[in-house]
Amino acid sequence: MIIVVGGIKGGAGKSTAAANLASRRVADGYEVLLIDGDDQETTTLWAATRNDNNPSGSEKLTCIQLRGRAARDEVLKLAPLYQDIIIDVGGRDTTTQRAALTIANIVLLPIPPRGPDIWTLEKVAALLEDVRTVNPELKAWAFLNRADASGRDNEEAMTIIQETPGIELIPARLGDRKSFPNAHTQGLAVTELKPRDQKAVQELEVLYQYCFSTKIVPKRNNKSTK
Amino acid sequence: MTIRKPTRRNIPDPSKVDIERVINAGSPPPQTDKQDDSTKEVRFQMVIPNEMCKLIDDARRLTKTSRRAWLLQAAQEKLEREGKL
Repeated sequence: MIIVVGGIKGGAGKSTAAANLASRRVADGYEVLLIDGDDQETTTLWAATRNDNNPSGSEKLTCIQLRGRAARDEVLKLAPLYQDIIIDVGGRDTTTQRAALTIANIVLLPIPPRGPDIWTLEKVAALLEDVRTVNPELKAWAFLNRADASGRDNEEAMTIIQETPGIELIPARLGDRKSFPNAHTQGLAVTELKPRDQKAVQELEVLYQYCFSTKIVPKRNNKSTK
Repeated sequence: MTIRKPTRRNIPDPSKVDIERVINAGSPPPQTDKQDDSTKEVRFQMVIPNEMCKLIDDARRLTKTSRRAWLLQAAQEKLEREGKL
């Protein structure tokens, strides 16, 4: 399966989500190719840190950089060698993101419940409409990232996502928890961080299970949070 | 009653021209081949034992340099001693 963690707004949490999903997939014994398509090279730095700090966790996880149309051409060549490919693209409408989307099964859109992130949804929908002319099977799944613990912003953001054509809001969500960036800077997934943040681990698990369809997401996770 | 297996909609493969059009509508990656690599920096994270960090902090106070500058100078001195710089 090829998953692109995309969107056209920087700082939405794409690299963190991509790294966490890749690590979690590897923990289940799968060979995963993690592709850094972002000029900021955050995922490359994360993978290098992981190799230093957690070499055993990197055995089945390969990270490479690809830019531009190589994000299509080279991925097509590499796809038979890996069970899953996760592509982290930068927060702009780039040839890299478009090339990756032309061959992806799923584009995962982390959306923080903040105005500037929500305002990009129309442009993302237009981008996806264009991409679907050549990849009509592409699924676009949005989830709330860095969701608030309280307040109404989550619900308002969810409503806007649900109203955006061509994008499906999935029941998974990641809260605004320090453990995500803390794990990321150590080259880890939140599931590998000590001390363990059980809520963050559970949130990632719901996202992971939803994406890889290894288990039906419990109904309680469909509930919107406060 | 006949139970028919649902058939997939016959979707033709997209043409190369269409794929090119979709991809090229995005902004291209920055040109890196024209950049001068001679001054390029390598960035990495470093974890050191707390005790060693304290020793470094004590040593660098004498020269009033930052940790980064102190470590860089130490590395340079070692490489010079080994004739590699």
